[in-house]
Amino acid sequence: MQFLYPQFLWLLLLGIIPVMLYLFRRKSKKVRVSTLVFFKTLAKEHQESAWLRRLKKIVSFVLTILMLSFAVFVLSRLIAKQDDPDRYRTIVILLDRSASMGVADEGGNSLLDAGKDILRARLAKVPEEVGVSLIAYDVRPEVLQPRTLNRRELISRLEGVDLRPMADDRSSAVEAANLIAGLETPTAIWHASDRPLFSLGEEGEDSGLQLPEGITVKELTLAQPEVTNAGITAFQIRPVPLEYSRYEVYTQIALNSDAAEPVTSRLEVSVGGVPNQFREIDLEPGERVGITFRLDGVSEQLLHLHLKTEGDAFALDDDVTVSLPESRPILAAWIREDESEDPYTRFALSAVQESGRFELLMGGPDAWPLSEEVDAVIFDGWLPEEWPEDLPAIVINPPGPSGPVLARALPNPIPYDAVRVGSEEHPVLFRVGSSRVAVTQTAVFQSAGSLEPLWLVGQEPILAAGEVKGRRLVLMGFSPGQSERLPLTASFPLLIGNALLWIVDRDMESGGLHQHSTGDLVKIEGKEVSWKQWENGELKTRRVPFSSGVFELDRVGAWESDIGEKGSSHILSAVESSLPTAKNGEVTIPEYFQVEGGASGGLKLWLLSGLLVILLVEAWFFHRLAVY
Amino acid sequence: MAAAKQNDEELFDAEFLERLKALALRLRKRKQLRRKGIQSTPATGFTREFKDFRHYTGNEDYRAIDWRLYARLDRLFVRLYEEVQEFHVHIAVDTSGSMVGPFPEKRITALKIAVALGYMGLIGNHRVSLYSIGEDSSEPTQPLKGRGSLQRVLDFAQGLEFGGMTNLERSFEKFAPTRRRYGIIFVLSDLFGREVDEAREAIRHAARWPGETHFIQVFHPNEEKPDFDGEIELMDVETQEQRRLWLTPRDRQRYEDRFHQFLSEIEATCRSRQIDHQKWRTDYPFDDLFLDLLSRGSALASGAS
Repeated sequence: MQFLYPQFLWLLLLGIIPVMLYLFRRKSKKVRVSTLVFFKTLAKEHQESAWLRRLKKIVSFVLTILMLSFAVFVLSRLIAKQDDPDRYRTIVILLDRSASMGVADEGGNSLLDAGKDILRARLAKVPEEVGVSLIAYDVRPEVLQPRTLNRRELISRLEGVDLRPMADDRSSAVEAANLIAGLETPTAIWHASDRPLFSLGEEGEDSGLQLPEGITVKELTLAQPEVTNAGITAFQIRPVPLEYSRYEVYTQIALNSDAAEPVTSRLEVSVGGVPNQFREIDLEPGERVGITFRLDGVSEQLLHLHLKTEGDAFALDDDVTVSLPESRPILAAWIREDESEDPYTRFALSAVQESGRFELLMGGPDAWPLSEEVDAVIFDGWLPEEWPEDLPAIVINPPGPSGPVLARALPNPIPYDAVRVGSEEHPVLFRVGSSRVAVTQTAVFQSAGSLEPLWLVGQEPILAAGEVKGRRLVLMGFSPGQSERLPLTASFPLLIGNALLWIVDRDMESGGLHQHSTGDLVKIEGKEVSWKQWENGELKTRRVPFSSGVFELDRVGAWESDIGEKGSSHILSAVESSLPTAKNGEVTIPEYFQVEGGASGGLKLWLLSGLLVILLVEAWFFHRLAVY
Repeated sequence: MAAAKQNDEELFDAEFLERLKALALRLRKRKQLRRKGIQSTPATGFTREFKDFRHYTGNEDYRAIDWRLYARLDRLFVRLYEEVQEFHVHIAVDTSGSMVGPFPEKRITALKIAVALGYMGLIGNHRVSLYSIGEDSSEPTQPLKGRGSLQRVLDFAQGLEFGGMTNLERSFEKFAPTRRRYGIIFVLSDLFGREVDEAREAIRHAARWPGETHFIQVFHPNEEKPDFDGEIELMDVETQEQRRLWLTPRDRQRYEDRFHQFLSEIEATCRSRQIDHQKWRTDYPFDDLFLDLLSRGSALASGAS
């Protein structure tokens, strides 16, 4: 037995009143009469024996005490057993509505539907005095129902929870649940999902995580007995450097760890609705395979990747639909002290420019600050006093320090026959032959912080790349014109081209294609968003109006606003795609959530019924069989 | 119930005896105011009460000639005197427990009435027999006669023991004076039996009694109007039977109605059997009730001198 509100127990002191009344009740007068026969005819129907009278007095007293006690117990919210599963004052339902909860059984009943059914049945057994809150979560938690005693409203909210094609973020959900759970403890968090909140937790058991005092997690883990799911867990596309209308696509395919057997998936690629290529991938359970391929296309064309796997249980991660990004030339400004001093840089830039991927503006220090917007700037032998923090930059042969560039020119340049490579895999060194490079160092600089040394001479960095305040920077401490072999090889134009592509990569991406995860909030101008989604092998377009500037990407597909902003959103979550299966291949409901048998922990109904019975008994005894 | 005896001094002090004489005088005057008592006998006798004149006939005793009248009228007339008949006065006193408890005033009243009736009987030259009735009827005392027997009447009253049960049926059945003792019967009782209707049934026996019967029903005002209410535990003074009641004002009214109904039924029963019935509430003025009792045509009243 436990009282949820023991502070009301002091009301039991009211029992002193009937006790006093019983102990000090008025004794009946004894009167000797000679006319008893007349009194007998008067009240013949009320006569009863002395023992019955005494019994009635005791019964009346006991019933009064019982009635008072029951009323106080109702107020104090008596709960049946100390270790009853519903001894809590609050229950927070934390319901996973992420994409993986959409896995359905043969009858089309999704995990979310099954979870709602179990929760609804279990709620019917929760005592009325226990407040219940409902939080549904995907990438973020949403409090659908604050703490309430109104079960009908709560059930209505629960019924209204729909699946959302998003990955889930459990940390924020747990944080929100703890926040609400802590308001009135003891609290149980009912977590209904296809995966327990914490790996330590067993189904239906308290998790091993350290939760605030008074809060317990009850896991309702929902899973199908056997699930096979191969999905696209990563996707990236970019124009191929120095190539026109060609795109390089990286995608990752994964098979869930709990899959029963290896599968062969077929990745079908179409551009503009026309099949482009396909790949067949053999996947082992839990294996992730990265695929890189190139394709031809023009911007605005719709690229669709579709993964086909036999027995696949989860369709939301099988499609990627994006518009091919815009391949606008990179506009760069080349600011140099004196063009005649170093023609090699010009040659290199000219070579890059010929690919059609770059456009170059040239000028001297007097052209600084620039009157045009550019994607990047190349400082060659000169640096502005005030560093342009909003532009990515390439600094060649710095004459001194400026902004993030902590460099000092060497009065006597030092030639080196070879350089040591610091990070061979860096994109700036893509296809650059570092082994046959002879350079003349003209400046020393600090590569500490986020700058990563790519070439070193001795212990000094001579080429470094990194990011400063969100903008990329490539720093070259040598002069091409004074170097012996470097300007004469193909590596230098490649180095310049790679550096340009690398420093503007992010800006190009943002200017062309916005890739998001579903559930992201994006700022979009306009009043309507047009969604392009693949459904059952068909491309469907839907227009969704919106009013605020922030739009939640709640679908899988490509979108475009009415003023031309575009992007795509996909689940692309290895965790979400790795669908778990039920333990031992059997779907079982944790004992805590089973509703068969066992009574509700609350005694309110029993106590009220007891009160009613007492009133009836008392009425029968003292009104129907009244004492007169 | 413990038997109770009446204190002689308390009951028959000098004042009470004076009151009895005064009562007898008032009764005589009242009788004289009436020309003829309803109950007076037409017979003439040799009493001192002059009744009439008539012409002398030769067969009559000459001593009866009124010579004064002969001197005035020169005719012989004979004086006729009223003959006073000699009755037996039977006085039965209920000595059951209900006559003494819880209201001893009933016993005092009953004994006062008995003594007063006995006194009236004695001064009227009647024979007075005294009885007690309760569960049974006692044997009568030897008939008493003459004023000198008053002390014996008092002794009888003093010696009565009150208490015990009431059995009106049996008492009245057994109480049957012989024809030889034809006379006036006074029954002093509250007429409370074991059942409400017991008295009515018992009164039937009284119809067979030889003589003029008077039932004097003595009761206390609180028996007519109980002065208690609420939760009470009643105990019968005779049977010791207990009853627990919650007496409301409404119930009290019902009780009063039932009691009045009882009185009315007794009265009606008596009337139907040519029996006189007198309600005697102990708080009523004794003298007035007593005079009223005898003035309503009792033969006893005619004998008072």
